Amino acid sequence: MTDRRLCSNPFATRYTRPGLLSWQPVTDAPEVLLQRLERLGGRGAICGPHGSGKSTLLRHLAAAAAGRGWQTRLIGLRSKADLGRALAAIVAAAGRGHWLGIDSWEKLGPAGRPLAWLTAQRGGQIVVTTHQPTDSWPVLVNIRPDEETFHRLVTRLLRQVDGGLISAAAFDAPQLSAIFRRHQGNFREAFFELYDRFEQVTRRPARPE
Amino acid sequence: MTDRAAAGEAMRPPVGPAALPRIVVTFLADRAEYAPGDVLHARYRVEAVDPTTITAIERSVVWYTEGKGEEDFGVVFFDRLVADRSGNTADKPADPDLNEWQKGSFSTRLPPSPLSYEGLIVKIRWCVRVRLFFAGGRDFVSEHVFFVGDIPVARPLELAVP
Amino acid sequence: MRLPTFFSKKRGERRTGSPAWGSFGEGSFYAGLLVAGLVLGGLMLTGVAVPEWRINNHFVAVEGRLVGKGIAHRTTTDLFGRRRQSWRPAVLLEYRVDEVPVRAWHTGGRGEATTDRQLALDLLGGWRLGQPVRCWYDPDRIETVVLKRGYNWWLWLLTLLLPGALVAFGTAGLVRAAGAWGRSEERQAAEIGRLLHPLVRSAADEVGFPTVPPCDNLVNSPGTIQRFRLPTESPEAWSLVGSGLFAGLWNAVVVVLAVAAGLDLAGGRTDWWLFGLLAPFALVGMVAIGLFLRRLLLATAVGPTHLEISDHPLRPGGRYAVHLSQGGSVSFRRLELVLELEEQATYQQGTDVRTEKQVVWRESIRRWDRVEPAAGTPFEADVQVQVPARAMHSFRSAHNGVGWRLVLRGVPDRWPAFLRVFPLVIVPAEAATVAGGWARPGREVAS
Repeated sequence: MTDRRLCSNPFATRYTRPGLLSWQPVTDAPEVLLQRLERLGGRGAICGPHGSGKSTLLRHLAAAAAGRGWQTRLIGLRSKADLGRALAAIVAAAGRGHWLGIDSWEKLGPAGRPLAWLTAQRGGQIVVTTHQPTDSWPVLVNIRPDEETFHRLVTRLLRQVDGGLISAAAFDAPQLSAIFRRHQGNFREAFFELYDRFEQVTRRPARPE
Repeated sequence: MTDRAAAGEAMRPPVGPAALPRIVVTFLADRAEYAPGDVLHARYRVEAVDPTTITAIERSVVWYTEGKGEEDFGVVFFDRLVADRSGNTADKPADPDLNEWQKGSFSTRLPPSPLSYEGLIVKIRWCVRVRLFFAGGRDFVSEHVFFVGDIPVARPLELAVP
Repeated sequence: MRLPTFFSKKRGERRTGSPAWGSFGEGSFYAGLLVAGLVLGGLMLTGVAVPEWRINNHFVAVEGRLVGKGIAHRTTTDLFGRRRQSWRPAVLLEYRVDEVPVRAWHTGGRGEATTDRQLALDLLGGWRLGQPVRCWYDPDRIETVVLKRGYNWWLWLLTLLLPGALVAFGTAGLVRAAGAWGRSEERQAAEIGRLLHPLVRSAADEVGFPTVPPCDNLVNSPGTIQRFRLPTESPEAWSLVGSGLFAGLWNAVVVVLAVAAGLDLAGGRTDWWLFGLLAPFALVGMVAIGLFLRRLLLATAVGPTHLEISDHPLRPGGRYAVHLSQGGSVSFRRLELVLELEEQATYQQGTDVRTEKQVVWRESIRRWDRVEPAAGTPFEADVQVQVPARAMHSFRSAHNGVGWRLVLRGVPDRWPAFLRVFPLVIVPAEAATVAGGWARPGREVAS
């Protein structure tokens, strides 16, 4: 019989992409943020560096908004060519009872300014993610990744895997701290390194030919 | 509390495993390893669901990638059963097995590729998916992995972790 | 939100969610764009394009006479309520239609409109009363007459472009929104697959291997010794082109700066900023030229590499003859031909796009030490390549790939090492060899 051990890597993108990791208390709870959003007039930006969890928080806010009975929509922008999609989503989600989340707002570049102005004229709520605060959007929350959250997430991900396959020494706290610092709080890059480490720990190397 | 309200309760964010539907999938002859070109037979059973909340059931056989890249997937079998008002699902309303909507089976011939592959940064997996659709727009999906082909697990060329 | 449970072979994984599928509102937005495009296109066609076409194809030519002059006055109100007056020269023409005399005013086109009344009057000075003129009248409305014909091509472009863009954008968005609305990802993929499968077929698909990349480009070049010559995918070719482009562009800027500085000097002026900028730019330019020349010398000294193979695509367990030809004028400390399996994964999230590659299997086919080709003749060798019996087939999807390749690693004397990469396609083993059980393993993949 072939070597058929099926072992999912807990750090695969399938399990770590935004929306799949549980909300972590690095910011106020989603419900509190939604109340803050209302005080800001229904427009706000989630700010934070690469891999800090902006997209994940955006999805949790969307879930919380859906829980309030609002009609929610999430879109992700990849380039200026998505200007049309963004405009369509903004127009479609106008009015009370609508909640729109737009990931990677800065992808639109300067063309995003008139769109940002348009969002201020419509009803409904809209939240975007940006790396830096901008004058087009009031800051809803500024995410600063912290090491404790990173440790907590990694521990939860590892706990899902059958015991005995994982070497505790490969994922102890000092090593996780070193990984966190090496990637300067970029959770995404840290997860990629943990992915490689997991694969190395769970497989034997190739025999030399 | 009506049946529909009970179903609504079940579809709120779960507080424990009992709040979620259960879908049990079994492969014919308890077999989960196949060669390309073989016929896959699968049976499924849906439990812990109010039948009146079901609007449709989709059965599919898919391959997907897992690893460090974006997930890709391909569908080799797809089937959608739509519920009538009583919660019975069928693609032929006159089917005498309407009352057995909670159970079902399907089969499909597997293509010659892709084969299951346990790579380092790219893995290719095969699975059976059963997806339930509920009134209100929510859905619930259950995946059950099986293997196609006999490709050995890839190994790193050198051990980097001390 | 709970994390997914990892599974063994039989136990299922469960997910629950309420995906934000395309909204009715978004579809309405695109429908609105489509309607706007159709309406605008209709208006522009009927208001601009069609009348112009009628003038050029339908109007009747006649010899007339100018019998009167005047100016037409128009008052418009803009969006802010400001009134604006414009003036256009107008001429009264007399001509005959079926022997019946007709008199009609012709007002100048938009291009002749002006807010200056005196200018409009001045334009009339070019016309003389009694002057014979050639004009064209509308046979359906004989009082409509023009003095000029021809096409405003930019107007036609506008008529097509703007409404066309709205129609295209609205249609595409509507189709996408309708296609995604209320459909699971499996259902969308199944429907798209049924739609596209007859249109998109590769050589591998023709013999029934989905997700195996096409090898059309790998079998379209016949070899001289073996059946096929493999194309190369060498990184150094790109770096040569890249360094050449960079050196050319950078030194073009340096030349411009130098000319500007020289002109200043000749004019008795000294622009210290310009001189300060010129020095480092020139230095970088010289380094860029040096790097490019070095790469060029390396490429010409090492010479081309040709690989020919006896058959393609390859199959697990198969044995193939390969002919290697390495040109160039240098001798080599080492040449090594290697068979590799490489995985590739692309991830995009937000502003991050990363592609990672990793070689997961490597086998040395042959190695040659101290290779000294005879002058004017390439180094040639024939080898056998054995594909492992349980080799993974080539795979390619939108973001992931598993690919085989032959790689020639060379270490020339007194030159840096180089790599020449030749992609291969390996299809799955014949179904007959594994159906009903497991194939007896031949040569094992290293594990």
